[in-house]
Amino acid sequence: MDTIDTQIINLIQQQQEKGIRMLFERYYRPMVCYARDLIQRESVAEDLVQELFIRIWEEGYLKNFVSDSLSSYLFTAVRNRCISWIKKKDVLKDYEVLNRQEFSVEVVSGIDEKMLEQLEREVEKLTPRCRQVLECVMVRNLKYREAAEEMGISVNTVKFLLKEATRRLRSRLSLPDDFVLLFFFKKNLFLPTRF
Amino acid sequence: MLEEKIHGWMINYLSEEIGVEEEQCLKEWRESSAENETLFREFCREWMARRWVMTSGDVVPEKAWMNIAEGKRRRRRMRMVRRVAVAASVILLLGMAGWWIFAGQEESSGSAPEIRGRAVVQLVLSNGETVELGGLDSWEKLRDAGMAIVSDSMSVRYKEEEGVVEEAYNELIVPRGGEYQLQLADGSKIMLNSASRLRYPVNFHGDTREVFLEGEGCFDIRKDTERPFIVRTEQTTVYVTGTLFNVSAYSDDKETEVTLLNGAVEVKGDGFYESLDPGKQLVWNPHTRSLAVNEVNAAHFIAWTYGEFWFEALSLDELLKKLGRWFDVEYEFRDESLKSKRYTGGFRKYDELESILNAISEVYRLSFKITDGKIIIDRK
Repeated sequence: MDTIDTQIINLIQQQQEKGIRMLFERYYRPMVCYARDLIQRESVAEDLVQELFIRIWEEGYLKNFVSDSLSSYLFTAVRNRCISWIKKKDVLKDYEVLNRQEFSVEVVSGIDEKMLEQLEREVEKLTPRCRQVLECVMVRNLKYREAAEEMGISVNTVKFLLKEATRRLRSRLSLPDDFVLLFFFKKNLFLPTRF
Repeated sequence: MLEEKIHGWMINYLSEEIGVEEEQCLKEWRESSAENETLFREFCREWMARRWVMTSGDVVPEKAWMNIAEGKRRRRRMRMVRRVAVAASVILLLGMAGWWIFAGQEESSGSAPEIRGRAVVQLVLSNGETVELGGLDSWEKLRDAGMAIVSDSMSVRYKEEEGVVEEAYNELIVPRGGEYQLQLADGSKIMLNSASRLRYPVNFHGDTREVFLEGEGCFDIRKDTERPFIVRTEQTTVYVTGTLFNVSAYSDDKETEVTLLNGAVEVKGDGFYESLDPGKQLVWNPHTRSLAVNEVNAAHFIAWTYGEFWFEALSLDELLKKLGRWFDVEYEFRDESLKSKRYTGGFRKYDELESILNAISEVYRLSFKITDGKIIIDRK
């Protein structure tokens, strides 16, 4: 558990509301995105995560937190809620999503708001073509061939652009120790994405 | 740093374009050392995070936090996920048979969700030109009055592109059998039900954000105290600053209903002006001139946005009308006395019409027949 998570837990134990708010600011958006990946329903995903925060707050789940990873706990909780939801809907296709490696808690629990903001800045600096390829393949799940046709380029160029867009592999992100508590109603907390 | 080849494999894997051989190579590389496996996971993580960054522009944290803080204070569970468990115990108290039948239906229908509710909608642009949106696998990108308009099978979103000069309106028309979501430039979201239309400003450079609704819409409005949001329907006007509410104003319905879930709204009509608190519903009947403000389980009235029907002591006549709009069928009661019977219960919207009608007919001993897109209902 990194230093910020430790700070969050301590704050929750002393001043619950402030601590939950800090937790929210670090993890809300990643948790919602994870839920959306699992159940493909935007509004339901936000509701599930909001309800989880309410429960954490009301039931004081984190007051006696002893596990060694706060983020794993959070993402596992999101995953469990999504699984219940999927079971109620009972559509076979939804279950398959759960088995994919990239949707495992170990992979996603390393993502927090800071990482999203850093990547957002990076994505904005990409060339329009790179961004377009990301949009086609990553977001809209087009096949290379479909993306190539739509963009009027070859499949090899699609692959090349994808590599360019994902070239910088960060090893462990080191977060600054002086993480500042963000204001309660800070506007532009999440920057709008520009395509 | 990764070797080019391995980088390529990982991209192919995550794009779901990886061949059998490559997948095997990737697997062996991962298994050959712990460091490799870690690198693989980090790559996946970055990939996911990048995708999240590109698809989460609509997440509004202030509103989310308000929901959380409010949910904590009010200790209320208004979430659809919990509704099944809660409603079952409530219905047990009321002793309504209808609910148990729903709870017992475990089968998921043969027809995929795609078939229902993906009717093609029409978008009328500011120059009067009409474009078709929605439909399975569709994806469009248009421009109008300085805005970029991106649409897919479920929703259309507006983003400001260049400095906007003039005010312009678009209109979205959802036919029977359809439903569609609209996201405006300020992040406000509106879900439109079947047989509904909404006229709205393309950009928000005026003093107000004013829209015109006919039919039913669920409004999730971004807070902007300087620019109040106004929903005009034939019978009422709803004033909002930032909030979540549902408006039902079909021209073929006797009443207009405004249900508030979060925030605050004011509703104005012929001879009245009411403020609503969350959990309240205003019902206005212009023919009898009767106005009522009731406390309701507001979440029921947006069940339709979550793929479910909820009928709260609804007359069969009204119930069939709602089913008719969603399934795009006509209906006829052979026995008039059945029209006023009331039903309470819920269904998944994507179930077969027959199974829904079966459940209802168990309670009232009805028979029904579906021929040529028309339901004929009679006593058994």
